[in-house]
Amino acid sequence: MGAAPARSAPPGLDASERRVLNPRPFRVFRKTYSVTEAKAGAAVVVLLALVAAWVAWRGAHPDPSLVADPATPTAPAEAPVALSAAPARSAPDAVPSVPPVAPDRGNLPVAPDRGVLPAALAGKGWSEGPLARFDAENLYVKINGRADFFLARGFRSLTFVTLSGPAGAVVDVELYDLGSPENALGAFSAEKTPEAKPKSGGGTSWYVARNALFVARGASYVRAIGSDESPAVVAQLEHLRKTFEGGIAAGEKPWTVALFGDALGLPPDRLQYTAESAFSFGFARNVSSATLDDGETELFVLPAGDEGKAKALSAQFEKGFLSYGEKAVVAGEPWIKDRYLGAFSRAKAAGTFVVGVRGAPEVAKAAEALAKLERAVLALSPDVAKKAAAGPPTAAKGDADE
Amino acid sequence: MNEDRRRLLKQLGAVAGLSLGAGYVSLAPSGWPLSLKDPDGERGKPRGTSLRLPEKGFAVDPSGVLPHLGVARGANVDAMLKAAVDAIGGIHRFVKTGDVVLVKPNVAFERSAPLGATSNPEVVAALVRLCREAGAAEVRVADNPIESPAACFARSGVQRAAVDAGSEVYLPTASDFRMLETPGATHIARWPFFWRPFQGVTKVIGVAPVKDHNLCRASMTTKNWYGLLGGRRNQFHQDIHGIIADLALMLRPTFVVLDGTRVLWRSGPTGGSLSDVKEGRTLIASTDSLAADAFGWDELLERKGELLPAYFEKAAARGLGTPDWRSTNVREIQVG
Repeated sequence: MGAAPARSAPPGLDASERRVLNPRPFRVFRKTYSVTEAKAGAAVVVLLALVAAWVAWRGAHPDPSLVADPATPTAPAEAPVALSAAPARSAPDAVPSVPPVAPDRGNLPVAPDRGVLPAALAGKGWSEGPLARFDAENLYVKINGRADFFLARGFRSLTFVTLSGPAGAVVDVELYDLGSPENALGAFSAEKTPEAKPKSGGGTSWYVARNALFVARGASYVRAIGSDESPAVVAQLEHLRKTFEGGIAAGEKPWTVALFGDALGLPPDRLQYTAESAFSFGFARNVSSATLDDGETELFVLPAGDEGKAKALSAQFEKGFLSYGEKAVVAGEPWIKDRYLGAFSRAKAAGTFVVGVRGAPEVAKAAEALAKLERAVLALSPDVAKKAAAGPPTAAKGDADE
Repeated sequence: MNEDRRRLLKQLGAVAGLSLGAGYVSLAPSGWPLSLKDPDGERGKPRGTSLRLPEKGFAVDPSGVLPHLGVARGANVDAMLKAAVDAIGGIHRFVKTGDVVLVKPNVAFERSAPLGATSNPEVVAALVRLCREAGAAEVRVADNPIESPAACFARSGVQRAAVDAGSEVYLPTASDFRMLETPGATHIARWPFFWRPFQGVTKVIGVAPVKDHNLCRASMTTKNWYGLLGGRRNQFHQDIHGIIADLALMLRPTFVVLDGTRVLWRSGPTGGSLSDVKEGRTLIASTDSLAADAFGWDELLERKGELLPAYFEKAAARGLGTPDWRSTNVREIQVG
């Protein structure tokens, strides 16, 4: 292998002007160019100029959606405006005198899919408007300020429809898919007013509050809001109740319904489910509870995983109750008496669960109910215990910013 | 050869320097100098200049003798409103001939008026008439409900009432928003604002219902300005009290009317059942939003003795009002 021959510069150029490591890159080596080459080059330059002009124009006229919220109309800021010096409007461009406006769904998402919403919602003399569907991302569009309530209860979707009836009466139907009967009953119970007298049977819990119907069935929680409490609206609400009972699947009976119902005879509409921080205790998760007939004594149960954890968790409850009460032994049993309300509370391990009582005005009744609950919990099958430990599904992923 | 090596090293150095520079500007965190990093595309969005509301808002000169709070009770809305406004100096103190007045009701939901989730259309109409009688050249009514604005204005009855009373109704469209700067605000120092109805406006009057609220416990005149914001304003619910205090800073009105003709005393802010609504038969006019809201909390929501929501303290700390309404000059009138 001999040394590679040195590369020689083109004729007329010295060695410093070689193409490799050329120190004078802009030097013209060719004497002439073809006309075609020049035309092609000019075309490329024109094309690049057009692209540059397009980019500049788009920059000056941006798509409003770039700065707009999907739900709320916004626009980019433009020229600086001192409000006091803002030009007066030359002509009224607001909505002038407007006859009754047909509800314009505007930018609401319209979904042809009814989900679990039954057909034939409109009774005689009523008609159904277009459907709208909302998920966790845009629930706030429909119920801004109230969305958190449902997002905390396993929210999946809201299907909304307006029914129009005689004499301008309307009923708005809001069907919330909350993913599980526990969540649906939890929402139903939490929104229920103290004076409401709910009825339960056949997998449905419901009540009517003047102009409005509230129903929990299966994983669905339905609110039907009438514009008034006229006979036409009330009749339509009754039609809706029957339609929901027949048209929404009742689903599997939640274990808590069986537990509180069979052991203590408490109807499903008394049930509450709290996924996080029950009773304002950060450690209290996955808590199911129900109120006794006195309206104050609250029985609760939650899975702990195993017996050791159940004992530790019950001790945490005792510590929590002690933060606003003192120990009190009643009939040989340790209770904690609220120093402000005088009510009694207690928690104890029952197998892999923790059971307890909160806010009981009478210890004797509370102890009796707690004993029943404890026996019922200890009688739960391992399968049920496993299901309980998993808890109902949480909200679908979405914007929980609301 | 030495010359070639030097040249090679220089050129390699230049290429390495350019590569490092390009790597830095493209990969350095967005807060670093010269960084071009734009992970969420926000920096690439157009950024125009902003507008500001007048420094002292739309308030009139304060009075040392007139009451800050006029409370009228009765059944006739026009008479009650006039009495309440008369108690704080009369409409001519606030609205002069030729004024362009913006009335901001709460039309946040597609609910009929009796359900109490929106301002009572009769009160809105009475306010428009009062301003007209005082010589206002123009009265505008505007709100930006997140839900379909046209449907909300129609179902609530506010549109019909406002138009019949002689005002123009402004429904928001995409081109109606501008960036508003609110110096000192925590969340909305620069935020899209429903600007179009504010062009040329000289007076601003809020008229808000008394409502329970799921997050901030009570929605009244201060929370009412939330309806002027655009953008993804729902994100502010994470610090609801902070944003309401910002709203008090953002807009200092000529006066406010707390519409206590109906009170949505629970299940707010949406309500739905008539059993959540009670007759309030009260209208309050005030130059102090916090005092008006505190009155509503105590007397209309009937939560006297309960701790006021945190936004009262936050706004008061900025000198934006007096939650202790009893310490202010109050005049109460029974009408009819």
